[in-house]
Amino acid sequence: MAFVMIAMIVALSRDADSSPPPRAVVVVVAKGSKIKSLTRAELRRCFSGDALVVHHARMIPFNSPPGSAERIAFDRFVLGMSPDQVGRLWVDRKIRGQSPAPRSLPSALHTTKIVAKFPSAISYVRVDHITADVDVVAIDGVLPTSSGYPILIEEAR
Amino acid sequence: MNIRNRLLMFSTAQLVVFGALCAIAFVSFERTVMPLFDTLLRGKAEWMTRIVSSQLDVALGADDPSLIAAEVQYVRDDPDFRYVVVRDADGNVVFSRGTSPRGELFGSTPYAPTVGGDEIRTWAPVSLEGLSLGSVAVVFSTARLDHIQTVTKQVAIGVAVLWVLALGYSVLFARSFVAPIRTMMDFSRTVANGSLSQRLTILPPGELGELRDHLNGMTADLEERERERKIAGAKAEVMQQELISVSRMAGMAEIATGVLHDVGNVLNSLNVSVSIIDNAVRNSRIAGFTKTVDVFEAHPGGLIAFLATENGRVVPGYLSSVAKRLAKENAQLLGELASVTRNIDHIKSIVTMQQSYARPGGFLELVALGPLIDDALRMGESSFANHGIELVKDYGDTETITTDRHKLLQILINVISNARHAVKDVDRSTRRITVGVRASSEGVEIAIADTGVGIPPGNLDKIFQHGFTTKKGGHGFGLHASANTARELSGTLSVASEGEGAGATFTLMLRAQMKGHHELAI
Repeated sequence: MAFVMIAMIVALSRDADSSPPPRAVVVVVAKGSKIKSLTRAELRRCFSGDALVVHHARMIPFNSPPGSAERIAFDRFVLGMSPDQVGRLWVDRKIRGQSPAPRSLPSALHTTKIVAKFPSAISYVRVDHITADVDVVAIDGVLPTSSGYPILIEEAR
Repeated sequence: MNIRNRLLMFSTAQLVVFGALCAIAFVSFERTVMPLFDTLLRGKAEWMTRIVSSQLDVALGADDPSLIAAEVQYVRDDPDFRYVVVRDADGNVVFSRGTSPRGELFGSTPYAPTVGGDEIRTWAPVSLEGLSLGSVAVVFSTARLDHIQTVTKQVAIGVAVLWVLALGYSVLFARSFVAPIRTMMDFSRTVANGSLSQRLTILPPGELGELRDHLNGMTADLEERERERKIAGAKAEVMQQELISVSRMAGMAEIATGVLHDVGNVLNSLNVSVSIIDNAVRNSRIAGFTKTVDVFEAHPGGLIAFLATENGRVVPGYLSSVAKRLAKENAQLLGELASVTRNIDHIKSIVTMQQSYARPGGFLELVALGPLIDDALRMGESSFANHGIELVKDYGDTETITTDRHKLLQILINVISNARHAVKDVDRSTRRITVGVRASSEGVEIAIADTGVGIPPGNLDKIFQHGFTTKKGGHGFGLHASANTARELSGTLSVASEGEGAGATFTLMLRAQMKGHHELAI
């Protein structure tokens, strides 16, 4: 575990100005993926049911469990919706016969394993769940280690 | 159709209907429910495999045995679960639970259930977005279905056995139910034929037992009553014989009285004749003539000398007078002697007639009713004349019937005597007795009507009772005996009267042919 954390920090330190905030939710892809950065719009299209093809490969999104802090933070930033709005979105799409919601994975561990196993998989985890088998994707060119990283878990009030 | 067969038909019909319903239910269950269960089990195997295969993608993709176990847990919780195995994309078994069956689990078409032995097996690939991750195979047991089928067959066999037992029971029940009834019917016939000493000894259940007790009780009562009836009958027979004997004696006394009365009347006439003869003899001129003869013989010179005397000259005239007187007396005596002779003949005829009726009765003979009624009337004909009773005979075409002459005469004498007494107490000018004979539909009716004192309505019912009489010095026996004698002759004696002062009519009805008597050939 210590090795993983060291490797992650080393990897992030290549482009980071500083260590990422622990509340950051990072988008991950398989190790060695050609995808290094995605825009918010691309992420919205991918996680709202529309196909996202990158380098001739259709990206397969995986969500965190509904109600999890990562899911809430990611949906609020990418889709611009609260959890209730997200739920109504997928109900509406199901009624209309459109593509279903991305599969939800039970845990960050499963997420990193799945993403690591499938080259076209894309998902998100808290920054402290990153493993060496996945790569972190910059959002709109901003890495978690950079200031102004947009996807953060709100602190409990 | 007898009761037993009807009971059998009734119970058998019920059993047949019940058996048919059971057969229909069994066949329907076998042909519809069991295939439905089989289809449901196949469907369950297919869809549970589909579901578990779709849910194993993440678990297999994440190589998480615990997640695999969690995903297949609901399959394991199924009551028909037997075996589940999960393989990765390389064919390595990464998870398995349950009893591994024999044979290849992944050789058939995916999702298509395969039934073999007591199990249903199916398998499905596990993939994620087109990437094969492995496969899962599920085996379900058909034991529950087989058990249902086995139980169904056992129930069917049990029902069939029960049906046969019920049929046998219904037959035995019908026999056990009907047998006592038939026994009671036979018993009733036996009792009806007079065997009152028998009793039912069968032991039927329930109400039939009560019926048996009632039948036995009724038979015992009948036997007791029959015994009492025989005793009473024997007593009645004795009394009847005594009554007949007394009646006969009374009848004989009545006849004797009539005979003696008539004989007495004749004797009166005879006595008068004898008195006349006696007076005639006593007052005869034969004594004076004898004295005259003595005078002739005592006169010297005899009769010739006396004739020459003064006194002798009147002798011829005297002799002529005596001759005439003696001739007259002779004629008178001859007349009285003839009357004596007739009266003696009358007495003889009365006695002869009485003797002819005094012979033992009970024998039938052809009897001409007219002469017989005349004989009965003749027994008291002097009384009719003495009391100024008008006698009217209306015999019509005189009937001849077969009957007991003596008993019929006895009845007629009694009834005519009764009529004679009844009319003696009314005005002399209205005394009349009418005797009529006419044929009826049943035989012959002899009606003896009088214009006598009549009978009050209250006495009509008692007139034939023993000891009932309204006559002074009567015994109340004559009419009672006559009525009984009429019954012996298979006839009836009845009376009708409009009341006091209206006279009365006694009607003797005799049937054309009597029964129970010996017929005397004439």
